[in-house]
Parts: sequence; C-alpha cells; structure tokens
Amino acid sequence: MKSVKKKNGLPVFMLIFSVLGFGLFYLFPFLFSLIYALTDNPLHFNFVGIDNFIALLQNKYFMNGLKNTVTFLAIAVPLNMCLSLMAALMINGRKYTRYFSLVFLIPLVIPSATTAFFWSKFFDLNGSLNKILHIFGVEKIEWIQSKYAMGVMIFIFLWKNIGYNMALFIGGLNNIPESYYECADIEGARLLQKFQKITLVYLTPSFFLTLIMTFVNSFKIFKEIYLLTGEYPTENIYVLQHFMNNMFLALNYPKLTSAVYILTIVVVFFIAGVFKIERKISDNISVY
Amino acid sequence: MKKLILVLITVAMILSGCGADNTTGITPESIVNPKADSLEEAPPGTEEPIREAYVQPEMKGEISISLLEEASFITAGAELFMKKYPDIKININVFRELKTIELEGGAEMSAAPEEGFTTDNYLTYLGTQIMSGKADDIILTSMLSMRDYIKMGAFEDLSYYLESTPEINEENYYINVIEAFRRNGGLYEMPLSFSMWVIYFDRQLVEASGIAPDKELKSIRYSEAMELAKQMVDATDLPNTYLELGTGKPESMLIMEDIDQFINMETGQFDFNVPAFTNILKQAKSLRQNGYYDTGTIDFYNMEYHFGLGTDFDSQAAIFSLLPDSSYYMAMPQCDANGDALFYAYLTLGINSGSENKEIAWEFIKFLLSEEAQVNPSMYNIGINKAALEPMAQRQMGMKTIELGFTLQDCVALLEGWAEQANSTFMERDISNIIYEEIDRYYSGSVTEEEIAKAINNKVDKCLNE
Repeated sequence: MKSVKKKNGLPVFMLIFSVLGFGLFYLFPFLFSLIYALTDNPLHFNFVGIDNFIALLQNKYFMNGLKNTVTFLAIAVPLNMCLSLMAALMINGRKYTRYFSLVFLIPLVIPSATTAFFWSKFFDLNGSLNKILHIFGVEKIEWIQSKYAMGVMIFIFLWKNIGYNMALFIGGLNNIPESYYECADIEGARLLQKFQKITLVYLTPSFFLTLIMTFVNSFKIFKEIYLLTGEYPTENIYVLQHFMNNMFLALNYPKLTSAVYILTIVVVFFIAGVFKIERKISDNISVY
Repeated sequence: MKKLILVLITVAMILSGCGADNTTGITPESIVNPKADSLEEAPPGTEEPIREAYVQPEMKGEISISLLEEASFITAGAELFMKKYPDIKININVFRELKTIELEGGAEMSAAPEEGFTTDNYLTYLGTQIMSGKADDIILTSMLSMRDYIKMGAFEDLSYYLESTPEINEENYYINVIEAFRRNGGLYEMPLSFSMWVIYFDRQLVEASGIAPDKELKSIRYSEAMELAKQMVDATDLPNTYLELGTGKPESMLIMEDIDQFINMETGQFDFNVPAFTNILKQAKSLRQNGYYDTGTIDFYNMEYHFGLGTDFDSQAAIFSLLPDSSYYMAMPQCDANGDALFYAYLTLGINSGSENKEIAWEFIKFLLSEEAQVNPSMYNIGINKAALEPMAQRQMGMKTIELGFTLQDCVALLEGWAEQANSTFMERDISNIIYEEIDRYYSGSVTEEEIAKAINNKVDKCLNE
C-alpha cells in the first residue's frame, strides 16, 4: 500500500496544475455564472429565481436557435461519421495513405477567416457555384440567404471536419488485428460480413470517441457562419451561438447564462446517453 | 463518480468549443414584448431617488476615461482641468493608437485598425469592463448602441446633474442638441460638439436650368434636394451633369431622413416591408439605371462636370457658400421628414453608473462644456457652448488660403442659424448597420426590394426583441 501511494504521488502532483487551471478558467466561471442566470441584471443583481429560464423557453429566437442547432447536429454529425468512415476505409492500407490523409486534413488548418472568405465567394449570387449551375440552366440562388443555408452550413462543416474524423478512424482500423480478417477470409466471409462483424465491432471505442469529438467540433462551425452571415443570419441558420453571442454583446448576461445552462442540460443528457450506449455495446463485445 | 467527472469534463470541452472569436473587423409587424424587454421601462437601478441639491464635491481624487482612440479635445481638456484642479488626476485610457499612412505630397490617411483592435473588439472589451465593475468613470459613447447599455443601467442619468447646473442653459448652450439625446425621459450621454450635413446646389446648374429651391427654405430634405437636382439636370444642356458626386447610393440618405416612418425606437415598433420603403429602393435604382449618376467616366482634371447637389460639413459649407462667385448655391442643413435638422455628435460622454467618482466625473464633463475648454483649437466641430462657435469659425477661415471676401460675423451668423435648427440625430449604430448592409446586398445582385425589406424586418426584429 505504501509503495502504491508513493507511485501515485507524482502523477497527482502533475495533474494538480491542469485541474487548477480547468477549475479556475472553466468550472468556477461556469458555476459563478449561475448567479447571473438567477438575477435580473448583471449590475444590480435582483434575485428573480428561474424567471429567466421560463422567459427563455418562451423566447421564439432562443427556441428557433435551439431547433436549428439540434437539426444541424442531427444531420451533420451522423453524416460526418459515415463519410469519414467511408473515406478511412477507402484509403486505409492503400499506397500513399499518408498523402491522402494530409489532403483531407488541410481544411482543418486553414484559418476560419480564409475559409469564410473562400466560401462566401463560392456561394455568392455571382459566385462560382451559380456560374457552374448556370451552365445547366439553373437560376442563380443566393445560397447563404436562401432556404438552402442550412445545407451550406452542413457542407462547410463536412468539408472542414471529415479529415479529422478520418484520421481517428484510420487509427482505429489499424488497431484491428489483421488475423481476424484472415480468419474471416478462411471462413469464406463476404466483404459486408467482415465489415459488420469485425470492422464495426472493433471500431466501437474509436467510433464513440469520434462521435464525441464530432459533437464538440460541430459547435465550432459557428465561427465560419458568423463570419459569413454576421450577427443576424436568416432564420434557418440562426443557431444558439448567435443568440448567446448577441446576448453577450447586448450585456444581457442573465439571458446568456440561462441559455448556457439549458444547453448544458441538453448536452449532459446527450453525453450520458452516449456513454450508457457505449458501455452496453462494450459489454456485449466482451461477451461476444 | 468517475463517470460523472468524465461526463462533466466532456461537457466542459463541448461548451469550450462553443466559443467564437468575434473579430469580424464589420438584420412583419411586431410589437416589442412589454414585459421584460420594454423599451419604455426605466432601466433597473435608475429609479428616481430623492436627491439633495447638488453640491460641488471636493476637487480631489482620480478619475479615468475610456476612449476608443485618442481625442485631442478631451486630452487638451484634461490637461486644462488638471491645471485648474491640481489635486485631481485624470487618466485617459485609449484602446488603440490612431495610425496613419503617409501619402504622396505629405497628406495622411487613417490606416485600418490592426487585428484585435477593431471597434468590435473595443465593444467586447468595454462590455466586459462594465459587467465586471472595472469600467472607467467616463466612457465615450459615440459608437455605442446605447439602447442595450441603458437597459442594463450601465450609464448614469445626467438629468439631475444638468438640472443642478443652471449655467448650462439655452442662452449659452445648444440645448436643442443636448435634448436630442434624451431617451425615455433620461439623459445618458452628453454631446460635447456636433456636426451638421449641409446640402448645396451647383450655382451654374441653377442658372443654366432656371430651377432653384425656394429662397425661404432654412433646411431641406434630401429627397426634395434630389428632386430639384434631377429637374436641374433634365432642364440643362451642360455637359457631364449628374445628380451628385459618387456612383449613386442615395438609398441610405433617403431612408434615414424618413426613418421614423419605418421604426419607432421609443416603442420598438417597426415595419420596413411597406411601399414607402420599397419605393425608395426602386427610385434610387431607377436613377442609377437612367444615367443620373456617373459610372466612372468623369476625368476630374480635364473635363467640365456639374453635380446638381452636393453635401459638405457645416463650417466648410458655410465658408464656401459665402465666397463671392461661389459655386455653392443656397447651402442649408439637411433635415428629416419632420423638418428637424440632422446632426451627428462625434464626441459624446457618459458616466459609468458604477463609478465611485460620479460628481468629479460630472465636474470634468461640465468643464469640457465650458467656454474655457470649448474655445480650444482642438475643437473641430461646432461646440455645444455657443461661445465656441466664433473661434472655431475663425480657425476654419484661417485655414483657407484664398481671399474670402466676407467677414467672420457673416460666417458665424450663418452657422448659428444652422446650429439652432439641429434637433435630430442619426439612428442607432446597430440598426443603421443592418440597413446599410442590406442596401449593399441590394446593389450587388438580383435581390428584389421586397426581399431586402423582409430581410431588414427579420434582422431588426432580432436586434430589438431577442
């Protein structure tokens, strides 16, 4: 016991700084902001209980932002997972895998302002996309201001993040022992069977890691969208971060922090659900 | 326990991914919710306390001022104030340095702000300072959308201080300008100076066409001036005649002069999707399509050209219109649909409601309004103190190298007549930015007037009612 405690001393000491930093810059402000959420005004602090939360749930812009955020997540995250897995399967084990990976990772390192500028020109009314479509007789559309704006947002998100997820999946694929596939070949398994029974099963840990990372990155697309559309975009791409950003600029901290807490509750339930499913599947795999 | 910590860490990671860098270098009928967000409600914490008569505080202590860029008038005023009251220290906190680029011939042009020092960065910085209680005592409010700050109770109502200062009266000050800043009965910012946009006509074009504005006019709406200019252009054979200098973007001016028709900032009611608005866009587009604006064909050095109407800032317009043989015909201030002459105040100050030195802050603002400060050479616009007008006019006249042919009193009388009419200031920054952005979109492509109007409605609705 003494020797175990001694061995654990140094890691704990090394972790203290990270934990302190996390506590000081994330946890403490997050908990402190509850005060703003329970008061009417950040300068005078009159307690109003949960009035801010109730008002928020009746606020059409907040609800619209929440709806668009959930819609975006429901479409973009699974689509990203599927496309990046397909890309990983296609290029893994081939010649020049590294170079293909590099190409897919380039969008991730391009600064957001550059990305926004490029896509604003591409999707502009007189931009490249409309010029290409015009050849086929399609009328010009102002994509970012139209009902297709959500599609544009999803497209930019996919373009930026497929490479990252693909790299994670390639790592996961490389961890699957080759002998399993050899056994399956000997048994006469088809490609789809190998994919279902071996690849998907042993990719489960990578899959859930990738899912959580994709979920995290899906919120970051706000940067490009904000640069493209400003503070007040069209209804269908007005997401929760627009609402929160505008509340911050308007010094309306009670609404901002109430929105943050509601979003936190939604995210906690989602993450808890993901972990529960992951544990169940992992248990099934170990039994299997 | 481990799982809970894991979940919390994951959630914190996700929420940290929500952060966005806001550096961007530069929004149908609806009635604002009368409950929490009513623009008519008095801001919290500013309920009228029963106050004793104002007594000048002991002139000792330290105050700070927050500025986006250096303002020479405030710097000079601070130096004079500190000389007058040696026990008071004034710290001027400037967010960014004013950088200039030297052009050929020794002229200087303002350089674009560096990344991280844009106006948006300053607003974020200022908002954080105010909310954390660390803001300066006096804040420059010229570029702020005061509506949000007033709602949060970030600024002190200066009405009490103003009423306690009898020397600030109609006889000695342009109270009309000060009162134009009153909102919901309160006065949260004090203008130190103001500038008026003046419209004039081309004398040669007036003579050639035989069309002239009514000589009794003291101010004119931009739309009326444009109509007159159009008639002059149509009725003359002079070469290269156009409505106005520039490629033709009169929409902004036409909308702003009639903005009360589309939005009521007191009640928060608005509607831009009305024929009056779309007709403005159509009218301006038609003028451009029919060649009333130059498309870059004029050679300013080698061609004769005429612009039916022009705009200039007040002191320059006054000087040029008084010159004998002046090309400026009937210069007069631009007014809105109600006949109120429009002005813009570049220097407006507010007192932080959380300041512990409000009385000293007011004493400094009062000093900046006094004759002693306002006659300073760093006053470029029309000072709020009437005594500052003559020295300013004299300085402006002194800068001209040509023979003027009129007296200082002529110039002062003309400027005084204009300044007395100043009653209406421009729309709040965020609302006007929404309108300008959508008008830019209108120029650029095949967007209809109705689509622009709907887009403005949507954005203004969000801006006012989020």
